Formats: sequence, structure tokens, C-alpha cells
Amino acid sequence: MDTSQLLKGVLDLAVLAVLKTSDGYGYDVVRRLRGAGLTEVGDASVYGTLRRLYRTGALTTYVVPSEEGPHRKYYGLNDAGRELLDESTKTWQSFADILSGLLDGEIREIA
Amino acid sequence: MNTVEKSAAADYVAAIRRELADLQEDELAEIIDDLTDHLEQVSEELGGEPTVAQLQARLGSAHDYAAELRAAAGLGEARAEASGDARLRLRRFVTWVMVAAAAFALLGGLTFVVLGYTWVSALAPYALLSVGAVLVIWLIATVGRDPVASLRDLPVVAFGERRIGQALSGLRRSAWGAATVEFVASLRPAWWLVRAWAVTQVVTVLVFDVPDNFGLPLPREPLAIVVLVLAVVASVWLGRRTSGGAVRGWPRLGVMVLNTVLVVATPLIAASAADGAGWRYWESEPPALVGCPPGAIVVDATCVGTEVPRLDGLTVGDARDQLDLLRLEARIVPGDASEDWTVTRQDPAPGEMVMPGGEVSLLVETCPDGFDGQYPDCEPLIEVIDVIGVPLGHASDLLQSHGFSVEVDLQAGNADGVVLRQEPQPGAHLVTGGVVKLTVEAVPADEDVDGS
Repeated sequence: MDTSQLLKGVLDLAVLAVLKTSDGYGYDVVRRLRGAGLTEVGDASVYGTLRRLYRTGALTTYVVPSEEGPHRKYYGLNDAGRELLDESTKTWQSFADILSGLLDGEIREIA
Repeated sequence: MNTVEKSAAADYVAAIRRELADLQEDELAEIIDDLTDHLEQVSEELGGEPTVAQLQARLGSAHDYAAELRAAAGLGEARAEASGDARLRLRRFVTWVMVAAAAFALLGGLTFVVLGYTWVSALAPYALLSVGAVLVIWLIATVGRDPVASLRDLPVVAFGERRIGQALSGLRRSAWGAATVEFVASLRPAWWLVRAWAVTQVVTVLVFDVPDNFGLPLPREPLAIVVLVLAVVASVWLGRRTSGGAVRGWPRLGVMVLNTVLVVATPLIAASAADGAGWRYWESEPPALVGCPPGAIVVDATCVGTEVPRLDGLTVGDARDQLDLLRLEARIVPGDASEDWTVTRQDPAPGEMVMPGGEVSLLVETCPDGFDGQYPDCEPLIEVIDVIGVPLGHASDLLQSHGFSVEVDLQAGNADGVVLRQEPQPGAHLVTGGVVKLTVEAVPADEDVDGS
């Protein structure tokens, strides 16, 4: 199965989850997602998702200047974002349960 | 963000920018900002200066990246390129015109510095103005929040920036290169002072119309000094803010334009001030500096002429000498006056101005009309009458009656002959008692004499 299709569906959730742990900047979020096992995730997708989530009001953003020169733009969850994360988590859970149920049934049928 | 190596990474960003050119300027600017940041970190990950191939392997092609970004950010499909294209073509055209105008202005400025021709210096301000006008047109055509990025995006500028960036990074790697580049960069505060001075010169001339050479390197007029101090303060403040990165967008572009114009203009300004002629070059005809003799009056390195000295009362010889020194022509009237006669009148009058090489007429008499002891050595001058063809005896009588002495050259003729030649010629002037030499025609002894 094409994981990228799955990924598109849940990337919002994944990004929100990463940011729940701690605030992060674009490159950092990509790294964390890949480190967690989502090796296929595209940089552009992560950046795009961050922007979209920010636009819909789920994220706050702030700039942190660093000694090496360039300032990093950090994203973090706000209240709306945390709410969205909770809802999405519930949705994901129920979806996963339904799918597990379907798979179990199939396996039982096959078996 | 402004330390990204100008290389494959910059090209990658630029390519993505082009793909997203249909977006709102603000949105696009933010995206590109984030992207540049990201590219920097990816470049580090890939070992410092990745090639295009490496970037594409890591991030995908620029086109794909842009498409993925669009999708994830919910920006919708790329709109028809038509309007974007036209804008791009307009920008390209205007850029080339700008480059041409700037090159023209720079060339004019350099010619002025080297050759000092006034007609070029008259052109220079117009050239600078034309650059400014074209810039305004371009700015109107490219309305947006990040004009500096738009400027960088133009093909000419992008190409130039990349080349310069490559050259600089190559230079930095060599041992002396790094030190040199750092030294030049450290001269930036000096540039702030120089541009303040240049602006002061322009302002004081245009606004306060200070006519004379108001000073190199520092102005002498108190008002100009005040302007200079203000300009230095403003320039340093602006310089510090700009180099600190606090100036973005339109103000940043304004500063870049100002710096460009001043870089071109400062040699012109410095040459003008150094020339000592100040700003007269910009206002008036070129001065005639050639052949300004000693004693001539020089105003602001302009030879405005020679003052005619008082010559009446001098002998012709002395007057001639004086005029020779001043490189003026003497016209003596009458032309055959001898050197020890006295000048009684001159034209032009003493104190008047004559250009070098000009003529001064000197009327010479030994005694002017109404002489009253003013010219102690003068004697009356009498015009010599014409006695050619007159029999000798008669001629002699005539001459003597006019007060002349007569000498006769009898070697060829005899006392009954007619005058063949006289010296001086008729019309000449002699003093009373002056000698007229007569040469008598040879007459055969047996011929009858006419007249008598």
C-alpha cells in the first residue's frame, strides 16, 4: 500500500502531536517525524502543513534569534491547536478501531 | 538568512519562487523566507555546499517541491501564467533600461573625472535623474511587499549576485583574501561618512546656492557645516540599522538605490570640489584657462582678463614693454612714431579689462592739444608734406616753412632737379626741426627746368 496516501491523511495529526511534545521549527519538526519512523515524509509537506495549521489558527508562531545569525521561526500549539489535536486523536482512534474491526472480521472470514 | 551561500541552494530557492510566482507577495515572501532557512539547514546536513543533484535527491525537484508545498499548504493550483509572464517581461525590460541608464551615468561620471569636459558634467545630473526616473517606473510596475527580493529575482541582478557571491566565497578561501574582504567590509563606516559628505555637497549647492568653492574636504560656510553634521548623524544611524538587518522591504530598497546613486555621484562631486572651480561647472560656461598671463586677473581659476595699466605719459618704448609683459597687443598711432615719443591717450582706458592677446591702442603725440606742461618732454609733431615731383628749391622752401630741416642728396642730381624721393614719406610725423631728406632727380645740364 502506498504509505504516502496514508501519510497525507494523518500528517496534520502527526505534526500536531510532535508540537505537543515541544515547540519546533520547520527543519526540527521534519527531523522528529522522520526520527519517529515516518521516513517518507516530505519537507515541503511538513512546511505546507505548518503554514496551513497556522492559518487556521491552530498554531502560534514566534521568532528566536540565534548566535549564528539566522533567526528560527518556531511553531507551537495554542488552545485551539490542543483542542484540534484532541479531536483528531479521537477521530483517529475510532477510525483505527473501525478498521481493526474490519480487518479482524476479514481474517476471521478467511480463517 | 542572508548568509546562504550563493550557489545551487540559492538557485533552488529561486526556481521554487518562480513556480509560486502567482501567490500573494506577502505569502510568497514568508514562504521563501522559511524555505531559505530550510535550505541552509539542509545544506549543512549535506556537507556545506551541495550540488543541484544532491539537493534534488534530498528534497525532490524544485517543481515537485513547489507542488507538494502548494498541496500541503492548501494554496490551490497554479493560476494561468499569462499575467505573471507579462509582469516578468515588463520587469526584464525595465531592468535593462535601468542598467543602460546606470552604465551611461557611470561612464559620464568617469569621463568627467578623467577629462574634465564640461558638457559631460552637464549631462551627468540628467543621467542620474534618468536612472532615478526609471527606478521609480520599475518600482511602480512591481508593487509588492518585498521589493528587495523582487529585485534579486530579476535575471540580471540574480546573475550578477551569483557571480559576485561565487567570486567572494572563492576569495574568502584564499589566505589573504579573507583578510582583504574583512578589511573592506570594515570600511563600511567610512562609506557612511563619505556618503554624508557627498549628500552635503549636493544639498548645499542645490538648496543654499553657495556659489564659491565651499571647501574640500570640509565646507567653510557655517550653514554647510550644520548640514554636514546632520548628514553624518543620519548616515551613521541609517548604516547601523541597515547592517543590523533592521531595515527591510521598501526602506531597504530605498537605501540600496541611495547607495547606488551616491557611489556613482561621489567621484563627480569630489572631482568638482577638488577642481577648485566648485560647482560653476554645473551652472555656467567653461572658463578659458588657456594662456592666462601673469598679471591677469583670475577669479575662481577663471581668467577674466587683464587690467589695462596706465600708459599715458610713458614713452612708446616703455608702453610697449609693459604691454608685452601682459601679452597685450600695442597699436601705436601714428604707426611710425619713434620709441621715445610720449603716449598721450590710450584705448581702452586704464583699469578696463582686456582678454589676453587683446589690443590696446595708444595714441602718440609729442604734444597733445591743450598741453599745459603735463608731458614735460613733449614737442609739437608736424605732418610731413608731400614734395615729391616738386623742384628742389621750391620743395626746400616749403619744408622749411613748415618747420622742418632739409637735407639734400645731390649725388645723382643737381640743384635744379625735382624731388624724386623724400624721407620720411608724406603724411609721416616729425617734430619741429626734424630732418627731411630729399633725393633729387638727375637732370641733364642742358634741359630746361619746368616751373620755377
